[in-house]
Amino acid sequence: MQIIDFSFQELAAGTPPLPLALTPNAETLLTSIFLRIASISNSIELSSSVAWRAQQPSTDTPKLIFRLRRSSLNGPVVFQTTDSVFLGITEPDETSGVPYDCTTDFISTESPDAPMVGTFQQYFLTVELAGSSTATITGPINLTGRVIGTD
Amino acid sequence: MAVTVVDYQFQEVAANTGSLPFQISPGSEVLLTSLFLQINSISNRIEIKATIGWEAQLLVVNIVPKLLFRIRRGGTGLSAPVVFQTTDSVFLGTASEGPWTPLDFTTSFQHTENATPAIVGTFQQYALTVEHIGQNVATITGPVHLDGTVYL
Repeated sequence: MQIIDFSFQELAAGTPPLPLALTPNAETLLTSIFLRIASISNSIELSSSVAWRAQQPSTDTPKLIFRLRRSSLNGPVVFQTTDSVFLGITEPDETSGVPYDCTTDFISTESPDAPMVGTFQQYFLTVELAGSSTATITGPINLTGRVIGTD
Repeated sequence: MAVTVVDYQFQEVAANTGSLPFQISPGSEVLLTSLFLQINSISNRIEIKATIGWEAQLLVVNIVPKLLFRIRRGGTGLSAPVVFQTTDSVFLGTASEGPWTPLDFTTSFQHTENATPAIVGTFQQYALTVEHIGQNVATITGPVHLDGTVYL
């Protein structure tokens, strides 16, 4: 068993297009990587860290849905998880609240289907802001992938 | 000498599949998933990584849900030694300002250990568990991911 492939993309905070204000209920591409799949017995491990900021006034609690998709931006969702932060409520005489900076980490592994063997597969990291809240992707954004198994 | 990968195993359960979601109440430790890793040398290093999606909601009383995640080795029961544990919690607001909608959270962590003589030559089971040590209820929504890599 060996590491067949290793690939990553990382955007530091402040690197264009960061910071990126999110549009509610729209799925936004953050980054993507390619990984080589050598065998049906390979394991494809994807790990990610994304830093984001939420701030009142907001009419809702921000919920960020992070997805990993394969092959295209409309391709199958191979992993999905949600993160959120409680911001409290904004009193009528308040114009802004304290910004909350959050970091979301996750890891996912999948086994390839037969058609993926012998190909370079592209994996996309996306984020969707659920509801009517506001949030900003501040960065850093990291997406790392490795393929483990036999060549 | 280059590092080689002796074994790699994972378990992953997407949200709303299998037994997910399920509620957890304070006081009981619940098995989330487990995997077996081949340990073939005293020089092995074992890396375990996990991601868990969960949800909590402020109901009647002011609560701060606290989830205690553990990795146990050698079995899934309470007699299996805990090799790693960590707690995650969130502030959900105060009841007087509510009601609040459920909030979803993602917890990730990793653990690394060296092989010990007792486990060399075995397939060791590593179990991921969760215990609610706060008040009220929380829900394990998923995803639940556990993976293990053995390096030589």
